[in-house]
Amino acid sequence: MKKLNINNLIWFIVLLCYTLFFASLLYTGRINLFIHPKMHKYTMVALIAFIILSGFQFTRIFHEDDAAEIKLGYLILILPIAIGIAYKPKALNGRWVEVRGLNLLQVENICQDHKEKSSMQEVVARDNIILLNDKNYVDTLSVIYKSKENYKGKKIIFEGFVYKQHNIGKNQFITARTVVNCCAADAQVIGFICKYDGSNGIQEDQWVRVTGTIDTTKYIDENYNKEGIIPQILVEHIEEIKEPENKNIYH
Amino acid sequence: MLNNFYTIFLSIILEGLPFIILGSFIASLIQVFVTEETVAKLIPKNKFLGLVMSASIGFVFPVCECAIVPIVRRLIKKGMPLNMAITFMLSVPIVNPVVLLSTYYAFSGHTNMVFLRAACGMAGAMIIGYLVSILHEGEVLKDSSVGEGHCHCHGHSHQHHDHHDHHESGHCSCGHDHNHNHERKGVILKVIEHTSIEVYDVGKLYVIGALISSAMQSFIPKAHIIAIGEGNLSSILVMFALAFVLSICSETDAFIARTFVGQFTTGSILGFLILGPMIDIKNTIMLCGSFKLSFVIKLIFVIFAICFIAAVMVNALPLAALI
Repeated sequence: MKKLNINNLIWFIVLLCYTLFFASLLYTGRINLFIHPKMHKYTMVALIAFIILSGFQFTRIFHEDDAAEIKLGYLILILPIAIGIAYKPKALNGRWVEVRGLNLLQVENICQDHKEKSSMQEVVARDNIILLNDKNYVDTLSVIYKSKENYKGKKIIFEGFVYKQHNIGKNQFITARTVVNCCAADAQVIGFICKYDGSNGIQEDQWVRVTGTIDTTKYIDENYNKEGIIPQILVEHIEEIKEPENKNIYH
Repeated sequence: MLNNFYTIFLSIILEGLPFIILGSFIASLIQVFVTEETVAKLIPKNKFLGLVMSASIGFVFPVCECAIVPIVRRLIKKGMPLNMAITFMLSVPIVNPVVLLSTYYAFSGHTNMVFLRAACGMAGAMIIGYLVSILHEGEVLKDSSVGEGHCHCHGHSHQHHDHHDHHESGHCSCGHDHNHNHERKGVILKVIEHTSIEVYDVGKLYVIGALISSAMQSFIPKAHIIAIGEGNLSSILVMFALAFVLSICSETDAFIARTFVGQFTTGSILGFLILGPMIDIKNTIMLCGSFKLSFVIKLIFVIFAICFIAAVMVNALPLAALI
């Protein structure tokens, strides 16, 4: 009778765990917290590969036993799954902004010239109000940063989470979004400085919808010791909203 | 705080694993279908021509830096000269269609950055490949690096003392040496089997790399790195440090790099774009699994030195004005 091959068995279990892990992330849509939807096809390919590999490995559980020690590598490989199960995945929060840094002076660099005209015409067309959504957020915001003077006095509506940077005024806060190009590791935070007399009453990390007009303000970037003029929103109306389903903007 | 760490960690794993599997699969195809004779035939006699050839493969071989390590160590096993293999490994993640396209989108309005990245990446990879092959003598791969320890591939009749012989000769015991053992098996099964071994070998190191990288990203404020400075030389060091620590996939690093335009020198941004795909935390860990430590240290040193020279040159030459 063939003997059980422990290493082959463990490797089978590891592969099976990965299969189930990937399947459940895709099935529940929680994968959206981690990677850009354009990457989902690769996750799907990986899932199929894991199914094939575990199927193959299953046939080897009783293969010759070379009595080797159990390998440490299996423990390492199971770690991501253990973390994935043990903790309820959340989107990046305000602490992340502090570590990653929020450099509002750099936002205009994001602006892509060819998109400038077309996207703005589209956004402003309706009622002369600039209405930001997940799709147009990055392009529109960067255009406003780049040509702030042209948009002074225009009405704007947008949503985001509140972040209070220590180097801005007491009556100011930042309404920010997390933008992801590929996976959460490349996440960047961008947003608008909002001027509002009731800023004290607004909690950090609270999601809000802001209605206001575009103005400009001086901003000092401490990391780079630079200062510049960036857009600022004079808040006319602010309301608290529920955290959206998709907290990241996938650009 | 831990929450962010977990999210970054899992996202690096989820993003990278499909490509680890892809790389393992390609490596297995090479293992099963490409013989040493084929490799020997394909390699040009002229060393320079060989370097140019391996630096250009990337244009038709869209693989990023996660997938390249298993492929390269397999090619070295199959007899590809070291200088070509290293050039191949370093250039493919830079000059591949997907990466160049995303660089183009990220730097729209600065199209020269695309050409500069491709040119410096290829030239740098060739010089580095040439230099490390001179600097390092003897075997570069660890004896036991390519799948031996847990090789599943011996047939039932395969005897154990054979296994030990392979260890001494430094060859993979699952390789050509005893191909006769495989004859009974289907080719497809052989490929799956090797893919499985490669996924284990590279995957575990990838997890460690992702762990370190996400820890550094979540716990070291970026401001501390940036504080090093924005002068001509210090800006290059800052961008090198960021590229190494962040371990961002080469297919998206351009989107990060563009946010530094204007804040940092052009040379330092170019340095970020060529150094990042060549070496970062997770690649260092993966390399350490396959290559001898002394070789990995030399390689990293040469990569940093050459990329630094390239970045300084871009800063010094009027090239920067073009961008």
